[in-house]
Amino acid sequence: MSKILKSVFLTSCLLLLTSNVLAQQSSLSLSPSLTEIVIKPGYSTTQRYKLTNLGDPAIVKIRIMAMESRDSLGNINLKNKFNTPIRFELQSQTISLDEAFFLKNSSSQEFFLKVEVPEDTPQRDYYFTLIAESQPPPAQEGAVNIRAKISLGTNLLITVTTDGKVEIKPKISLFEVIPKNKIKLFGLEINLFNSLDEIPVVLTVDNRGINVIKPRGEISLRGPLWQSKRFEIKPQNVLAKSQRQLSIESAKISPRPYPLYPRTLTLSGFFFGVYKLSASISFGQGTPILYATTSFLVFPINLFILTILIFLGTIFIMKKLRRK
Amino acid sequence: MLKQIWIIFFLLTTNYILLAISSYALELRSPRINIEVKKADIDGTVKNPTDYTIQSLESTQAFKKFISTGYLISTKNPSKDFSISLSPSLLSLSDISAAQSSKSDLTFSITLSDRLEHSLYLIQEYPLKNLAGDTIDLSYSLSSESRTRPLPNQNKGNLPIIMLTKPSTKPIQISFNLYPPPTQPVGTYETIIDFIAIPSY
Repeated sequence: MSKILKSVFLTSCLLLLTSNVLAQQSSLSLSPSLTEIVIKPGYSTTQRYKLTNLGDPAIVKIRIMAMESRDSLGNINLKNKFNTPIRFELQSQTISLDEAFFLKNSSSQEFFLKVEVPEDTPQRDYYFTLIAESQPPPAQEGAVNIRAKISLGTNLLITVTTDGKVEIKPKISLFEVIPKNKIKLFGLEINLFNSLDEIPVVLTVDNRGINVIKPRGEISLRGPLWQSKRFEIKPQNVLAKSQRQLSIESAKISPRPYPLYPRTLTLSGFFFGVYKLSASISFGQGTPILYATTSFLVFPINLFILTILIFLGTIFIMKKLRRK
Repeated sequence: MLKQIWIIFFLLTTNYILLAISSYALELRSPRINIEVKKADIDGTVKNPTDYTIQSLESTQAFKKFISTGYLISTKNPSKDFSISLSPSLLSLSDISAAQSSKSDLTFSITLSDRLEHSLYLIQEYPLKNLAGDTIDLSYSLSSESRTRPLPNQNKGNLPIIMLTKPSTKPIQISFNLYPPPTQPVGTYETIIDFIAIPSY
């Protein structure tokens, strides 16, 4: 009897342990999310990373890829093949770059990335992304298989400079509201919004220099009767020779399928009259401050049309009554 | 009567427009205005874009550290882990003839850390194919939209498509549509889809 119980128990355990294979879940976590290194040629440094497997046991590979700005919205392009004088090495006895290793579920792997900058490295910025990549599960025979893998990245911005000098060469390339209606009046273009409409604002900074810059500042809104409001722009990196649309909107906003509705800020509430928006951007202590302004007109168009219709209707009814 | 209505309408409209027009002229005369301008430095020299140091971007201490050690490291959100979860990691259809209407069976669910700004990219490493090289067209759609989109192909040198650019608190559903012709040979077909999540720089 005990033998039967034992065999039932063991079989149940075996079934429980093996039945989950097809419904695998991949889940990885990596920190820190961004590392910025300013380094002199001829020096090296190390940075600690922590990779955690939150899903089923996985085979993972760590890779370094070159990174470049893709658009003004902070998206990037990753390059598998690249030439760089900077050398990378994982300082670990168990794992190395581009070699797969096993990571148990609910376990973490810490590793140190050594960044070595040779003496003759040209002084400019170099951008990379460290990728932790899971291996896709094997395909099932006789079926149509879509195998998925996840790649989780963390960016690495390296500035090579001998004496700490950096180039700060910025420009505000766009500061504008995106209106639904644009009216041309006496040679002026008026951005017209309906009251209670959302007012999207776009602010893009162009970095013409060879080093990353960190614009910060504020956007202020001034309206009729001394109405005013300020929005803080927290420091955001703009990579060398690229542009970036700054963002004020909080991370709580709902996800948007790319490329819909890119904007720096959305003004919402009841507006009425002429409003002026101004942006002031600095790049750190003693750096140039850039200014830009734009304006827009908000008018209760729907309410105005409704009033006219009611007015005309009243006249029409009164005329009819008078005739009677 | 009509004349009176016209006069009242005209007066109301005039007042309405007057109230709506910006009052910057009044604002300038207001004692509340305080214009803060630094003293003009007539002898000051205009800095070249290359005259700045990391002291401007970071701090004096950071600059001193850089001079003494030869490097300076700063990390963003060291305590915030950035994570991605995908479930399941394998989608299988045993009957190829059912593929034409199998959208609901071919759905991945992705959850990304909502604590950090990030982008989610998607690329197909190679087309959905069997050992003989017969391929099946594949497209994808997000649960939030009805539109289906073609998949970029890494073998053809396509760039990964950007799917989302903002953090999400809810899982994202990505469905795949297959378009096998009626004459498609049965057998084992497979492809690899890479979901790449990168936090904002």
